[in-house]
Amino acid sequence: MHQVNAPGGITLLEYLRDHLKLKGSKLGCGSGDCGACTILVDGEPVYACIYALGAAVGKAVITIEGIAEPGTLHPVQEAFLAKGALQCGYCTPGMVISAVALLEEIHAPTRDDIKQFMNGNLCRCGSYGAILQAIEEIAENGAEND
Amino acid sequence: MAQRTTSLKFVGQSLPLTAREAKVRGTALFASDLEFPDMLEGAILRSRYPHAKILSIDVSEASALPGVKAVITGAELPNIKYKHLPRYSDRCVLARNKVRFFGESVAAVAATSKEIAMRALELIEVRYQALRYAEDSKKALRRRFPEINAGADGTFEKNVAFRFDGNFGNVDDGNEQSVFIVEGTYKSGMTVPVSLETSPALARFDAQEGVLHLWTSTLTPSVLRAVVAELLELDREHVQIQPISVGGGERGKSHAEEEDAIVACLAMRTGQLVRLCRSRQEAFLAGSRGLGAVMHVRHAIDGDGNILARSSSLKLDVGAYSAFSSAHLIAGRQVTACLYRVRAAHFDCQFAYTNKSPGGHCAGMGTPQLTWAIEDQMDQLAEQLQKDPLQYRIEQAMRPGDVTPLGWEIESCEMAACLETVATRIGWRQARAERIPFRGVGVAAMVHPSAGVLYGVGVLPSASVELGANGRFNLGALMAEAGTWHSTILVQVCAETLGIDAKLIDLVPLPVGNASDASDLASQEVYLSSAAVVQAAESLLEKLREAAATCLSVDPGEIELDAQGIRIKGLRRTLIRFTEVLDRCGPLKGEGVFAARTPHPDPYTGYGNFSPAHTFGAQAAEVEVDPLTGRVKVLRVVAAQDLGRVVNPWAFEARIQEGIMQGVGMALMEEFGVDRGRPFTTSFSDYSLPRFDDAPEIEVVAIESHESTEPFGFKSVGEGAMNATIAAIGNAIAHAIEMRIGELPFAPDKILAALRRKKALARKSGLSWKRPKDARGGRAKPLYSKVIFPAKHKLFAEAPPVERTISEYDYVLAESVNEVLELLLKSQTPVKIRAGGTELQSGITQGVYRSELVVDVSCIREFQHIELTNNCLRIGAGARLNQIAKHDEVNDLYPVLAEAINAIATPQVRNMATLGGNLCQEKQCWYFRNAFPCHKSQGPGCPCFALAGDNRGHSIMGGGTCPSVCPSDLAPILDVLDAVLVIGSLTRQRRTDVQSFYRGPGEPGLDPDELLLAVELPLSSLSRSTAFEKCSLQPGHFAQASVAVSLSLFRGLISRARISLGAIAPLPVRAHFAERRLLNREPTQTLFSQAALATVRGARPLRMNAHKVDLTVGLAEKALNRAISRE
Repeated sequence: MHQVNAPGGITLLEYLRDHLKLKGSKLGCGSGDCGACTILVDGEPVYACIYALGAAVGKAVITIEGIAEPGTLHPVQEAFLAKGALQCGYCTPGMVISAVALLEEIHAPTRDDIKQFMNGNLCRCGSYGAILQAIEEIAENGAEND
Repeated sequence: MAQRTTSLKFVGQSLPLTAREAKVRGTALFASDLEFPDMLEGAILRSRYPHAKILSIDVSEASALPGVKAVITGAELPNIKYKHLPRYSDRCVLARNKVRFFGESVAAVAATSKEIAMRALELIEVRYQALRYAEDSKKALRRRFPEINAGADGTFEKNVAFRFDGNFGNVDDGNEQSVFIVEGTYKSGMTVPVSLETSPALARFDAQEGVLHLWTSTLTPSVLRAVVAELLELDREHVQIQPISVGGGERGKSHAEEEDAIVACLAMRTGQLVRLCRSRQEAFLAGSRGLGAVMHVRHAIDGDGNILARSSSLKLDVGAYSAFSSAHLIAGRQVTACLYRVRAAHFDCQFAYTNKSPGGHCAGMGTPQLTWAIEDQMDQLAEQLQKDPLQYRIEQAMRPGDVTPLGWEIESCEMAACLETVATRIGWRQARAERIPFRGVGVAAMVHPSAGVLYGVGVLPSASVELGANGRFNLGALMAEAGTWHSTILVQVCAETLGIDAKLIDLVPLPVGNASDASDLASQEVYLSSAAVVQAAESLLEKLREAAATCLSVDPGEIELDAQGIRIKGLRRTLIRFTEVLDRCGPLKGEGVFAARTPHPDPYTGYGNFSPAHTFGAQAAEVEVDPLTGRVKVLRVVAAQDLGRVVNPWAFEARIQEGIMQGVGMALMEEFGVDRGRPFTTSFSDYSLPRFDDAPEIEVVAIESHESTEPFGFKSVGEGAMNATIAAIGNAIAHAIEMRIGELPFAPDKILAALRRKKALARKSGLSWKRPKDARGGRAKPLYSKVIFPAKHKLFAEAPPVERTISEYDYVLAESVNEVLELLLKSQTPVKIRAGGTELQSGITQGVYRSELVVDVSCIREFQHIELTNNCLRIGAGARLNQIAKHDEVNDLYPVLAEAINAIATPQVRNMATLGGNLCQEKQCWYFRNAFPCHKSQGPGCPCFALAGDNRGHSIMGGGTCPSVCPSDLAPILDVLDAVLVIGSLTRQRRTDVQSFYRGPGEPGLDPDELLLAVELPLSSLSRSTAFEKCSLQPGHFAQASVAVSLSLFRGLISRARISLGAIAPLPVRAHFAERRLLNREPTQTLFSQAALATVRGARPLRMNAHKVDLTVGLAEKALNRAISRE
């Protein structure tokens, strides 16, 4: 539980970055188009840059900082590293969060599932191919473990 | 140079990207992530005129505002112009005396908070006198048009920034001897080199030492340092650029932004640290931009296909300032004279000043576009010669030893092998022989100098390697951490040269200020700086040997390195550990500079061997065109690149993929729109970028060649990767639709227009297909554009009202529907309901809304209920789209609804957006969304910009004074399902159907005290077969057109038909003609075709949206067929 002391009309992203100093979620557009600010609210991916702080009252918010236990990496992060699924890294936190949400929702996603689900995140370094491979690898490993 | 080719340990390995772990954890620090105590926030006042005299600027009120620490204007800064390349300096940091484009920086503020800074901007009073403005070079170059920019040195006539005209080789002879000639004109629209991170900057001035520290998102710290130092009259040594992660490489961040100088100036004025972050809108308005071009290209060939003469004639406008546009001249000249074996080349170009944002840095510098024009003609030439386009290209490919008309001496070159490789991998021969309709393959080649513009003027990179006390090697090089793999590759090269483990090397990105002048420009980085690193490492190695030899009293030649330290050859034991070197031998450091070996090309003509090495490559693309919607899907791209040796296969693949994705964007969607001097695509909703779904399967092949000019034999990679992409896609589209399109981007409207031309040609030979009689394109509203618009614009919209940059509003989080209704009834100020906020918040960001009270309804549970009653499925207006799409009963009863929702926007938006929000959302007209002073935003006196301007996305069925369309995808579906909308206020409740719900485009018919409560889907509509079809520029994007259909059959005949059209008219439109045509008839393909044609009866498209008529017909036919297949 976290006590909030800020005007409800500011965006969740402003609150995370400016008040809580959690700088992992990035501002790319401010209009809910690019996905660099993607976070999980009650387990679902949303754009923090257009999410009102007030609307998050009573909900569980997870950002890139909280995606894995301190000192460890989430399997999605591991896979991104293994496949080299990043270059400049600005979209990466949002990409990781979306990928985590995707694998939560669809256990063994097809290539089309991945493309559709990840369509809300832009990468200007063109790492789509590598990101796709990273997610596919986790999905395959997950399916094998079943 | 001695080549190192044998037994390489690190060069050739896939070492991972530096700083990757911090990036994947989100802990990598970008400039906007930095915070310091007592940091001030900066903000910039931007011009609201495309061209105006500044009569006066009064900053007294702004300066007096508590919290404001400094306000600066152009008059207070030194009158020094930008010096990108000395010949073209033509811009001051802040506007002086006049503004030349919409968004130009006029004044800047530093204050204790962003809010205060923004308020201070509103208090600055600027008096302007509007001047005539020119949006295109034709107008700007008219004899009597006022001067926009005097230029750098007055060499050229009025409003010409620069021009060039030159022949290389004997062009006249070539033309005379030619057998075939192909020529044509090509147009490419403006693009924006979007980085996801805009360009934030922080500055601190250390007054005691006189040193300015800058943290800024740049790819070229050394260039930036030089510019900022000069603008602020500091010594270069007194400007330190601090290393920081850069969000987005190679895309317009390779020059000094005026923001860097402004923030530095604010820091010097206040003595405090100042941060300046640009919004996305500002980045679009005033950031870097690729130039749109009109390119006339001509090839003269002999009977064997040899290119005797090639001529390119380019007309471009640079905008208000030339920035780095001259690089476009250099690049254009090079492609014209050096792509394929050309005997002689002519190149001329004219760059005009206009009142648009300054064109300058963008990846490729116009090369991909000109390559496309040339490669389009290579296909045509092959056709003339009756040769296979691939075979023809291979015949004309360059070979080692070639000297181009521009004086390039080609050493290593595997262009033919690249062409052969991509063709084989894409399945060229089979695809060309088989000819599947609307599928095509295309091929194109590319050339790119391994060293760039700065090399040409003698700016060279340096590096240093030092052995530290901890026994580790510090590699100091000037680089931006932008994920370009530059640093990884330098570490590999350093490790290889020293013969030590790469893990022992730490990268020390030098703050610029310590480093000597360096070239860190884009794709030339690696090629040039690796040579400097090799030199530095060799020098250190030698010093190590000498120092160790003295210590150990042996000959230096006897000394070698192992994993732990220094030993004597032949002995296994390490004698001096690296950790002990400092103690025993003293500090050791090696330095290196890339030494130029070729004479610089002629500064005017560009003749000469510009770069010591050249990268070649080829790409093949396979595309599929949807004839119905005009959408092009790039299925596959194969790229083969001759870059000498691959230092890091991983990096190689990543960089080529990046280039290809940028090429895909330029080819298919990216287009920057400006109207009346004002940009109307300043968000990612209006400026499309390639997304996951646009990414083709990409295969990358390295073709190694022998390049002797670099120690390890490699050439540059990166920027050049995109050179062939547009061309390969363009040729593939031409193959798929058998029509050539001469204008970029290949957006659906152009494809549909081309298909229509093709049909018209075919009709002459007997085939028939035509639009219904009423749908006459192109002639609507000439009176409006020519008479009414100019008058209204002059009277009401030319002197724009002061626009507030931020909407301040009260925010109420409502807990119950009743509370909302009470607020609606009692509020004195206009209320905006915030449900998901997806549309409202972006509207606030874009400056569309100025509402004073926002009521958030997202936490009201009763508002989100989905329940099945006896006669209907009732969905609360506050139900989120994903909640509806995943709801069991919705999926059972109305799968079409779930299906349609899944095609709306992105998962993130669907998790926030609501049913009510979808139905009530504002119009998406790009003029309205970009806060143009239109009559919908500023009142009835103002004109409609869409009627007279770019109306590709607008209504084809009337709309009177506002041709915006109903943006809701769900409205047509609910319409054909006979849905009932439940509307409530404190005092009453009423019900209505979709048809009577709207007053205007995106304007629900709700009284100020009313709220849309729920939507009821009558169970009686369950027996109908329903289908929904939508076409948008990208998956999830707002529809260009949508069609919902529901059909009931009785004894094999259609007993009830509903067709509702979305996004083509201000309101959802029922196609009554078409419905009647279906009634009591047997469902057949022919009937559906006829009915589909009848849907657009009465359509009156505007000047640029006739393609939407075809689109609607196509979608209607598809929807009818799908509906009946569900029966």
